Amino acid sequence: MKMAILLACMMQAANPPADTTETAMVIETALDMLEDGLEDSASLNEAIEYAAHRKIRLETASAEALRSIPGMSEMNVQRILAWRSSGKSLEEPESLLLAGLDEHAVSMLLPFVTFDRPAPRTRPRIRTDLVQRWNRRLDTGKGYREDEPSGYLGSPDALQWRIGVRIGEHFATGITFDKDPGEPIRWRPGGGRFGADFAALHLSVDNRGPFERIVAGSYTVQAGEGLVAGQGVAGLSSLRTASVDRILRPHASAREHAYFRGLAIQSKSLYGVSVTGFVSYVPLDARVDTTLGVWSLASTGYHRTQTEYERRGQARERAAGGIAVFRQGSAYAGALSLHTQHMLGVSRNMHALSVFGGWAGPRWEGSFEFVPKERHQSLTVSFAPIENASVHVRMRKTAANGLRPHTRIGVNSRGESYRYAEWLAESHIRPFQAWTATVRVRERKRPLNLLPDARDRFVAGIIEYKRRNWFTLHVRALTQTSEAAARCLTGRLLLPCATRKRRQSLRIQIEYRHSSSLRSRTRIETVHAEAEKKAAGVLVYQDFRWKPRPFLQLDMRYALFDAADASARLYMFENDVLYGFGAPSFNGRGRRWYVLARLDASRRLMVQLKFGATRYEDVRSTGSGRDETPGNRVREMKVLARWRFES
Amino acid sequence: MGQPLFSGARNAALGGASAAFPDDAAGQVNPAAWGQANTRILALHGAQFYGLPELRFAGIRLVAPFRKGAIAGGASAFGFDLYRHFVLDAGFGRRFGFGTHRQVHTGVRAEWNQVHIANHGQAGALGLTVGVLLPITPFVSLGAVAYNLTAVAGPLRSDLRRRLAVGAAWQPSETFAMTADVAKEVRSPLSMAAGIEIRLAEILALRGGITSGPRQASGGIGLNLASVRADFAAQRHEILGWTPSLSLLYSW
Repeated sequence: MKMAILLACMMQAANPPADTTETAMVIETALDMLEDGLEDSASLNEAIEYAAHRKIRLETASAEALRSIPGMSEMNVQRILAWRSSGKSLEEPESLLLAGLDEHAVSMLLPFVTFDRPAPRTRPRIRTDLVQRWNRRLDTGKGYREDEPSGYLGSPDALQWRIGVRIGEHFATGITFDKDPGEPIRWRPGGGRFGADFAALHLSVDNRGPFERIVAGSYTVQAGEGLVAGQGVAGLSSLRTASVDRILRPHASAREHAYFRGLAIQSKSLYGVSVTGFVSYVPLDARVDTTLGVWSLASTGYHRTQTEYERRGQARERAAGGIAVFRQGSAYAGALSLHTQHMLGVSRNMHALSVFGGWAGPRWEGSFEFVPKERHQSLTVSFAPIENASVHVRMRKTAANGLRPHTRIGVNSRGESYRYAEWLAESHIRPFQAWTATVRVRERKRPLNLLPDARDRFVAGIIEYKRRNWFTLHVRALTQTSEAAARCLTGRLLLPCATRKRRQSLRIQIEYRHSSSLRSRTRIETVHAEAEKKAAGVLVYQDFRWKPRPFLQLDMRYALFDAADASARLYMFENDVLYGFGAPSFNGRGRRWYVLARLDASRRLMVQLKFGATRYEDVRSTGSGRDETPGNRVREMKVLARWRFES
Repeated sequence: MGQPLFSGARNAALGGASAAFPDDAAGQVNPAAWGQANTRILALHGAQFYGLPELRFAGIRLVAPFRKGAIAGGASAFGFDLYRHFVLDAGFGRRFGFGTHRQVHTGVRAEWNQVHIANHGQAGALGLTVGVLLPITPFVSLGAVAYNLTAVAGPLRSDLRRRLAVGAAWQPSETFAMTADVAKEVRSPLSMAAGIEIRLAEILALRGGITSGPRQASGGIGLNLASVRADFAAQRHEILGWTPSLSLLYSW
């Protein structure tokens, strides 16, 4: 009997390990509409990897859990709940189509859900993940030369260790150590240095007693529309990762500038009301000019040179906040209060109070957030007038990086950041079963010093033809225009004027799945840019994914690129090792190839190996500054091993 | 290096758009073509670029099939007394099932390029070319070929022509085929090519094609006489003029 139970525990349909290729599909699909917002994609990647590792069982998941799935709209939550309440099961992806979700929504959902049935369990299951990652550029810049007086302090190796332990459904802990290329490994316990440059530790308790979640250590907070507390992917209406029901998320990432550290508690809902409170104390990097009395926060997280090292921990951030959310069915309303104090010689206080809310019906949903004191507003409305069409509109007026305390980029020494007002509309239409058309338009008014009415405009259209699951034709056209302030010679005077930059691209992509073991993808993309001068770029690549054995998968790419200058650069999302993210841009003339191998050596051990090389034509060196590398090639290698122990 | 990518009069007549519709004897377009060879083939190719005797090309190739593919070898020469470019190559193509009844053709070719310039000496380089051919339906194929994917050895390694060509072919019947390619060479702009082949009778085929970068139009005929096939093509460059080419194939 014991043996049978043990066997059942071992064979139970445990959530399969997140397949990085599945999550890569989700990220790449989101990035297709986002070329101007790639800077946010690292945090998007983290949010998606986090969700993919905690797959949700659709058959039994609560409404709160469903809402925490990245990209899940309230309308789709209501459809799933209605389907389940009618007594029908969700045992396979096709059930979601029958429940009313469209094919695109289902494919974006699959990496985060499971259809397996839980097996009877006699004791909590303990799962321990040990992840070690090493990557290194094999052609290093002059900053690593020993005779370089202002070079990097450490080696070009990038190292990351992650340990995650999950006990049953309620307890989880994790620790992450990270060392970026060029950073030294130093052991000075007295000075708060314990080897790696960065460490994040958390302990979380889920769904115990009156608490929805308690997190001690590093965590992130997401609430409302992300104006005051968010995760930095606010630009993505089609893939929202915030949820007003799951406000706290443990921070196990190596991102060094977008988290809180302290204690956070979210209560369970009582009479529809859930309360969250958090306190945080985080050391920050800061640049200080003592002669002028000016200081500013640095958010790169790099401590590679003596100058960067000296900025480390020069400032402190104290934060405390509270969030109350009242939910009744698909409607919610909430308020958030956040007080932040930055300390460096003089202290700087920021206080923000916001109210937010939302409501969803069978055909539409809407949400808003309003920050009265700062007069920042955000309003999002999604509408699905007929079965195969949907429209999302968002209007927002806020600071460039919101009021979130940990998005310090762009904040000047007085704590101000420029404001913008934008509207964004996105529409998906599926006129026929195999065809999908998506249009995204965004206009942003971004007042500049000399140009109070500067505007950026972004228009993207995607047409996709998908023949079941084996053939996809994807065509994307994109236009971006942006205005910048300049001084133009008018008569004999230099007067303020506007210059306009335009960037247009056309992408054609064919994906073909020959069988379950072989896939290919061909992409051709051209870019035309107009700024001070015209420039053009072109990219052609051929991908193959080959899975010769169930335990081995190979991703291969060979690409040629040719872009006249940086304005005509071309982006290329790359499959990467777990927790890795790469969407490099290329300009100049050259070629790029990589091979990514994934070996599931045993039930416990997974190994990934990536080798890539970029070779430029007609250049004598690549990079600039300390990263200037002699020669015309850049090669890098990544190795990741994950041990998973379950009992 | 100066030798143009010439792979037979049939491909020339199709504007060079043959990544997904390769001639099984040529293999210089896409070595995956050897994976579909069923008989031994001896091919002779000749061309005179832009009508100039200094730009003559001559090549020979032998393809020998085995159970699931073929091995092939060839040699070609281009140029004249003062500049001569020799190519010696060998490779093989193979068919794979990948778990379905449809077969994927793949091929690899190693190519030694030797350039001789009068009064300057000679030097060479070894490059590796790989190709794949994916028949996605009985009528539609996709193809990709990376020329000189990697340079293996030789002092002229950096001068090898790196090129990635991807294409599609539509062949709804034995008598009609359309093909299109997009190719990017590292040091040249993107070029596109399209071709059409109509088989009027069992022994006669008409072909036409266009190419951008450089802009060329081409046409040709193919005669199929039992085990012998003769292809003739003429390409017209708007400035440099005509390029006639001829291929003779014997299969047994």
